[in-house]
Amino acid sequence: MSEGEARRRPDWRAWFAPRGRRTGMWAFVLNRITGLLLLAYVFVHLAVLSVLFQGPAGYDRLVRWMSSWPFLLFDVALVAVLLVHGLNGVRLVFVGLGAGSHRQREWFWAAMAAAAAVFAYTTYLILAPAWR
Amino acid sequence: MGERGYSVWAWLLQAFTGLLLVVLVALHMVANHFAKRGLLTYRDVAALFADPYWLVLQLALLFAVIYHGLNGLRAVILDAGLSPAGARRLDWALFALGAAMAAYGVGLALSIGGWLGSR
Amino acid sequence: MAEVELTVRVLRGPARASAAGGRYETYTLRADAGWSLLDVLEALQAGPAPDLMYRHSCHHASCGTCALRVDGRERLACLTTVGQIAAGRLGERTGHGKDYRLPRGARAAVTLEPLRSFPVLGDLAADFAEFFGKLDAVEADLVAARGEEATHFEHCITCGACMSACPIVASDLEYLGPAPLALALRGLQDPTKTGSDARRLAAADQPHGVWRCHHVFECTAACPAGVDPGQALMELRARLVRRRLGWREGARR
Ligand code: HEM
Ligand code: HEM
Ligand code: SF4
Ligand code: FES
Repeated sequence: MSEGEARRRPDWRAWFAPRGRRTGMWAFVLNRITGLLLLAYVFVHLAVLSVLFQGPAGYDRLVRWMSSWPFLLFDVALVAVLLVHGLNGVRLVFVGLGAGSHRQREWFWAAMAAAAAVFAYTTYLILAPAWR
Repeated sequence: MGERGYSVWAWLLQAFTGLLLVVLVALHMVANHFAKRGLLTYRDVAALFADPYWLVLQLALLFAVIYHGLNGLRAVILDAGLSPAGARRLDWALFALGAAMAAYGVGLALSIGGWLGSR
Repeated sequence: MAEVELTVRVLRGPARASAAGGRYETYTLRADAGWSLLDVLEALQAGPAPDLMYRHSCHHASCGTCALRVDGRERLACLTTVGQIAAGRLGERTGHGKDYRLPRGARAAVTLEPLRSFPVLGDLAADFAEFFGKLDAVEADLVAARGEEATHFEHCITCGACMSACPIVASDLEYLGPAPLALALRGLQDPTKTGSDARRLAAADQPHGVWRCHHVFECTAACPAGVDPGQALMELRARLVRRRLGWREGARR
């Protein structure tokens, strides 16, 4: 690198700047955000499970609380995040090795269509018991 | 940073644990949410952790999610540009965090499942 | 050809570490729909902005000096026409030779910015020193293959569009980026065997090599020369994986 030139600075805001960009960029933004959300969920999930050490009384109180509407809606959202990240992740495993990468855009929409279908079914499964 | 080949394994394992997670998370969700039309009680959870087959699946999920999640976080942080020394510190920090999570998760599963003899 | 009343917003400013920190200046001019953006910039220079800095040479998509961002997308200024902008067809590789059937008295607005992730020499002119250093690191030789079937990677005109389009090039300064990695693969495939394959593989297989790629494929979308650097990156990664697993390079490719 030649001397005296201004050295640029790392700019991670570019990760979340999809304006004017295309499908692959949106898929990347979604994958990154959902991956980090899932990781955050796992931390919280493991921490909350420590209530199990309090035995049945403490845990079953927690479960009753977690069976309330707001929490079931949270579960619905969690499943959506999982499906988006997981099914796009399957696409990335193959595309990342050059298999089907010429069709990466189509595979993204295929993954999202599959995610939507599974999401409809699991949403029904999660919310149906709460109606009874 | 000259450890050639090491990055190949990190990436392959990220892909492999990702594919594994599709199956393990699906089983986890079915067992915890869908099998009983509602969430599990303490007794259900204890029974699950007491079943050796289920225990193995659960611990596989635990290990896969720890590696995949923390290696994913590592990729995100490396994307932000780190010095070689910073990258080494990051690896140690994530390794320690992952080990702590694994120890906690295994301890929880074994103790609630009654494998430690106290219950 | 139709005339267009064109409002041009240009991100201007002196030499600096990145495009950020400049300021937008707005100019309005009457432009022929057949003009390229280089004609527009020349008109601005001849009129309201005599000190406007930008780079160009060949005017026909060969030299790779005129790339900039047009409404946030990397484009060669010489391939982008006023008619294309007015018709909102920036997704097409070139506006030359097209009749966009613009209405009389058409108006259009466009924002021009220097390439992202490059230091700026001034106004719209990007500093390519760092980029060229990365091309050297993979011993990118652009010599066309003699005799053997030529692969398409030598079509790269080193315009930097892919580097600007990639979100990771922006955040990891050491990341080699799309064009250098595509040219590393091109070097490996070169039947004349110039340069060191060992050095190319070593450069690709390090934390700032192919492993920083997250399959965004904006490089491929941005490339005006049809190089498809995204695909090249995936092939390079597959090669590294096969090598590590001990699989022989088969007849494939
Ligand atoms: C359900 C199946 C899953 C699959 C198939 C999958 C697949 C993938 C793949 C292939 C990547 C690499 C993406 C890249 O390099 O651009 C990735 C990244 C990531 N995954 Fe997963 N994953 C799954 C579940 C999870 C879970 C449960 C978590 C939470 C712990 C998680 C957290 C992450 C994180 C944090 C990243 C890094 C994101 C990034 O680089 O932008 N993933 N996943
Ligand atoms: C709303 C959905 C979820 C519910 C209701 C739930 C519930 C539970 C429960 C009750 C346990 C105790 C063991 C068992 O019953 O199998 C458990 C363990 C576990 N869960 Fe979940 N879970 C959910 C989603 C997830 C997700 C999405 C992940 C990972 C991405 C996850 C990862 C884990 C892990 C790793 C363990 C094992 C902890 C250990 O071995 O100590 N869970 N979960
Ligand atoms: S690969 Fe394409 S976009 Fe990148 S420098 Fe070469 S010609 Fe330009
Ligand atoms: S002026 Fe040479 S590529 Fe545009």
